[in-house]
Amino acid sequence: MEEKIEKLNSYDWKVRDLFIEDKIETLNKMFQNHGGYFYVAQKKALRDTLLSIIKGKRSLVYTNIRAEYEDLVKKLELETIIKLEKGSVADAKKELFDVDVGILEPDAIAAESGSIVLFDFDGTKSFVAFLPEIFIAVAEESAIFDTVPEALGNLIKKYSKMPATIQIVNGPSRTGDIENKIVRPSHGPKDAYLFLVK
Amino acid sequence: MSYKQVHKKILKALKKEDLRKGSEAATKDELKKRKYAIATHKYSLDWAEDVKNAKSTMLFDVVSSVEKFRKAFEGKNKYFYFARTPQDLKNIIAEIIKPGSTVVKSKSMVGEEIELRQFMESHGIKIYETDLGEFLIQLANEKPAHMVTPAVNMSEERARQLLEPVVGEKLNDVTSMVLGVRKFMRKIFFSADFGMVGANALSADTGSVIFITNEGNGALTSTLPDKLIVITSVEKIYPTLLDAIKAVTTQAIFSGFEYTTYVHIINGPYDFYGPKEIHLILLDNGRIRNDDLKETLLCIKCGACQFACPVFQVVDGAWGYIYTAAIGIPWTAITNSKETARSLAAFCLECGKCREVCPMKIDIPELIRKIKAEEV
Repeated sequence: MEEKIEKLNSYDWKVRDLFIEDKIETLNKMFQNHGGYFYVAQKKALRDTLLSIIKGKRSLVYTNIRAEYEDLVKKLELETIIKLEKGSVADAKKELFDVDVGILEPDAIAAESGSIVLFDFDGTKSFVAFLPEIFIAVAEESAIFDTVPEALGNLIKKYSKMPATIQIVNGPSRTGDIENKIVRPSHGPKDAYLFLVK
Repeated sequence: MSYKQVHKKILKALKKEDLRKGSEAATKDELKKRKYAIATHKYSLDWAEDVKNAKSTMLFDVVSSVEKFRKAFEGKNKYFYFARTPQDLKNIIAEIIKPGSTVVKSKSMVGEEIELRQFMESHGIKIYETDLGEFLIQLANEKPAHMVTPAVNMSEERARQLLEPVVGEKLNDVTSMVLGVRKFMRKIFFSADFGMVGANALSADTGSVIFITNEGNGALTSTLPDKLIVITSVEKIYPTLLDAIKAVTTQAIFSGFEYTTYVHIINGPYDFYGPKEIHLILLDNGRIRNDDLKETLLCIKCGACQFACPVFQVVDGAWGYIYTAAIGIPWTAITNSKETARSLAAFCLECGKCREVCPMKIDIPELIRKIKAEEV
């Protein structure tokens, strides 16, 4: 009995948000805190916001997005749109050297730390998340977990094997190496957007 | 280094007023950031304790920890090497990387510890440090002042002088310097033969390599070149992936980062884009057979003790050789020279600030006392 009480006492009730609305609120706060932009969007509004982000941009690369978003992305008026999947682009490196926008659907989101979690088996997700100037993640509510460890536990169970890499992304790249002055971007994206689609 | 040499180095630093002022401002700022980061994470202190316990179990028998990790790590196109000495590690590198190759490298204290960059350059390898602070240190041909922020004492003006000739453009402010380096480095990232990274943690259950960066330089280093080399040391092994994640998070928090932008967990080569083979070299360099200063191995290299040290606050990198101030002194004794460590230890004020801020609660003053008293 004593042991049980101790367990209850040691459980941190404050950390866990009980309702999805609270989780989204935490996620919003944390992702903006990282210097990223967070939107909760209806499917129609997603298109309009994407259009305003890609205005004036030339090229886009995407991977791992469901058919309905793929249709939307394909219809965006850009000079180059590349779908990155195993075997799709012979020399992806050359094509992606100065690509403007990258879009993917993340495997999970951790609300408490505002993290985008990617399970990457073939390198495509890492390329899309790291190389473009603007990185956009489009997620559904079902991808939200409380913490990174919880998200990882669930994904390992889902895939029943480890991917080549797991990438955890907290906002756009930055450096403070010269006199502690924060500058974005450094080597990765300048802007990071996280869309939660209803 | 003899006592006289250390004394001379410290006196020289004391005479530089701009360094003293810069250092004081930077350290104050860092400690404030750290306090804020710890308060933001409700579980930061609990996790620090978990990490200490997890690390202790692995350090109890380092040899079997290494063996456990090796078994979990090895696989198709994944090669494991154990380097007992710095020379062993350099020989392995010379086997893997042929002269004339280009290497992009992320920051690694193990690399600094054995002066790997200098070795690779002398071996005819073109090597680029991709972390901005470390790139500045490479250009200045200096040693890092701090474990996490190597160029903490460098002024904007000095950075400009170093970067302009390399980037080939006029760089008016910090933003243009960062963007100039991004442009310059991107071409190199895309054409490099090898990527080289250090590890913040290794997990013995999944055989994963975990490392963190803010700049995204580690992301490109570990994704773009066809071959990836990981250089790290034996005390980084944790029992599980969860322990390792807690360890890198704790390291970031106590370094003063609320969150790092990227956490990379590498399990294997990609089967399409990205690296096709991974070579991991695990360095001992005096760590395993070092019973008297074993507590040092609990260190997660967050650098909090360096910022808290009143001597570091005035002279920063001048008090040390590669590993500077506070925990840097026992690290010097283990990995470099006991004589140098003793010369450095003489300047410790024994105020105990380092022990207060250490997330692993290492009794650093006691370790330094042992070195001073010639007990080790």
